[in-house]
Amino acid sequence: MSTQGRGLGFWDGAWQIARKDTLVHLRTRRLLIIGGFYVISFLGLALLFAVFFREFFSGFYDRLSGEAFYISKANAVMAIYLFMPLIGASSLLQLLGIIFGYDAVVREHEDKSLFLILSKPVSRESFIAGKFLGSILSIGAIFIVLGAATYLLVALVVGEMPSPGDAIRYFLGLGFILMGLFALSAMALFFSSWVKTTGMSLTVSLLVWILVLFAISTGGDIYRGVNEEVGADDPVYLLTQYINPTIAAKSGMHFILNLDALAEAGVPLGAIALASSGINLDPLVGFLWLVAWVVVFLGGTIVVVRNRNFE
Amino acid sequence: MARGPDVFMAMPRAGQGGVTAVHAPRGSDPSVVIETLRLNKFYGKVHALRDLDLQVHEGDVFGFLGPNGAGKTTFTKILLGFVKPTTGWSYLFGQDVHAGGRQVLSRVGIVPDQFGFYPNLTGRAHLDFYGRLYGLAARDRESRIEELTKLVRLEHRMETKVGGYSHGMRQRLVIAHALLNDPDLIIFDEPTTGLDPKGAYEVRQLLRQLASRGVTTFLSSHILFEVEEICTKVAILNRGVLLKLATVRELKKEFSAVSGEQLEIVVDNPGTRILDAVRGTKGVVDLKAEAQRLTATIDDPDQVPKVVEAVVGAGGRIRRVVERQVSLEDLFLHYTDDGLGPGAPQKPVVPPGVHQAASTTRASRWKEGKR
Ligand SMILES: Nc1ncnc2c1ncn2[C@@H]1O[C@H](COP(=O)(O)OP(=O)(O)O)[C@@H](O)[C@H]1O
Ligand SMILES: [Mg+2]
Repeated sequence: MSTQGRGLGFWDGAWQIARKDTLVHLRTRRLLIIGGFYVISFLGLALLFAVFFREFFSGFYDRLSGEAFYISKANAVMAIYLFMPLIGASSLLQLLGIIFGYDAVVREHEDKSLFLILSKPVSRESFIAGKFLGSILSIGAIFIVLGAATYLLVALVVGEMPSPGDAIRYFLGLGFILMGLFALSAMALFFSSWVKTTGMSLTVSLLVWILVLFAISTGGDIYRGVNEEVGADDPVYLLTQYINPTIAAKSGMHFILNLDALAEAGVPLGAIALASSGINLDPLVGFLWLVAWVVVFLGGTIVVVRNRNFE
Repeated sequence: MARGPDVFMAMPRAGQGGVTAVHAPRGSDPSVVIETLRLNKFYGKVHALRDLDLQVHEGDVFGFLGPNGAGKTTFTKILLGFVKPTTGWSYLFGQDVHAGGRQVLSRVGIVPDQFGFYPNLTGRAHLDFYGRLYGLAARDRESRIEELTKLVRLEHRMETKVGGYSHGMRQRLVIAHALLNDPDLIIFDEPTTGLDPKGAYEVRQLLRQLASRGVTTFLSSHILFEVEEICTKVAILNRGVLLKLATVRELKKEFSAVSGEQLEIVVDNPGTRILDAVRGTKGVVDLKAEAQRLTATIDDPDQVPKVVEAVVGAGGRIRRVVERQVSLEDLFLHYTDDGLGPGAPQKPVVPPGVHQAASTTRASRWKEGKR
């Protein structure tokens, strides 16, 4: 029977779910409103930073030598302008991951639209992959607009276009933060797959994010603060830092900016150093940690949904 | 309902194959569309389905009858792999959807009893999405949506958001969605519940139309006359137990043998002579007289003319003869202890609307006749 359809392969099914979710996010204006909020706030932050700190940083041009730094001399200030708001607000950015994950499964269950999907020749694994794909598509879209707009704005304020190398580093840094968002989104998706209401899913996701993740990494800082002998490479301390995907994302930023080198050159990093408390983290480990985070929560979601009776 | 275009491209399928409650080995008979073996489902302590053995054959128009809470929805959800049975097996076209046989769902259409759409998406976006989930190619999808929206008369509302649809429109949309893949089996779970009389009538027309095309139809319902009107075979389910599984005709025959057929004769001049004559007729097992009305219970429908002759022979002037057929409602009440007792229906067996008029008349007449 030609018109009966052929059933769906794994990725085809996932893509149809992701496509539908993106369509719903567009139609409910969730994408527009939340995306708009983020883009505008970040443009504002970048602008503020650029205007207030431009003169302050200009004086350190001379001490930066192109060879020793990842940031080319001419664009050092600009690079800092670009990253500063992103680093400072990367915790806020993580929220974006939760916003596009917490209701993915539970809302379909609550609204009774789930049965109409799962009664089709689509596997539950494919359904979950589609849910994750849908949320990272929305997050990615917002992030690309946000990153590009900030970049253009700063270029405009600074009055010159960055070198290709700086541009690459900037977008690599964005990639790290984005990966952190995906990690949070996978976690929220996991909670959305086993609770009964969207409210519950949001509450659990936020609580874990705020309480567990921040409490542990802050606890690590305190532990290190009160124990003189505990260094930045103390394994327990490091573990408390890696646990928080926000910090793992920052480790990548740190690498890309090479803040240590900036500090050595006498650039007063101030807030930058504060914001990048993951300063001693290995970016590769940070990245792998974020990947593991996604894999574990996505796998967990699949296990839950595969075995769950949606009754 | 206005006649829609012909969207049933499938060849008419022959409606044969008996309904049996046997433990036939799976796959032994390719004409078995739905099969369950010792299916049990517990929700905590609630035993929603008990040792259910059921077969539905190709071409059957199968009525799954039971009061609210009988376990009908649970059964359909298990069939489609949404809810897992506690023990036992269920197969669709010989495939176990609980064990990797989900591809078979591309041959099935479902109209669930409760469902939700995405309020901000249009009717077309919905059908397009479900068509994609069935794996339909773009061209098939388009032509199918075109035909089906005409069939369910939603062609002018396709570009409107579903959030603004009435209950009836949503019901028509979900029916269209269930037909997208030109299914070999279509499962309706209480498709007329909550619809106004006109809406319910239209849905039944659609059901009949589908059934007449030979699509295997599984209609779960608590509305008796709906099943009686449309279905050829019927299973009666009560509190998770399958009480009866037979063709509608077999059931009626069996029931009239047990409880007799009612013949009501109104005469102008009642009298003992007439009563004696009727009582003396072969096949009459009981007789009640109430003013001008005689109600005879006969154990063989073929004796009706003889009874009438006896009345006339005794000088009776007949004004009216009513032969009361056994309805599924009678059967249903018979098999489900009037559907009352613990775990009994929450809602009245007959919903408000046009069919209420029809059914309650029949039910009350039946009760009158009985007393
Ligand atoms: N999700 C659930 N959790 C607990 N009990 C349930 C659930 N769904 C159904 N039941 C119970 O199972 C029985 C059968 O319900 P259901 O299949 O919905 O019946 P029907 O569709 O025939 O009205 C009822 O007693 C109902 O209360
Ligand atoms: Mg039901």
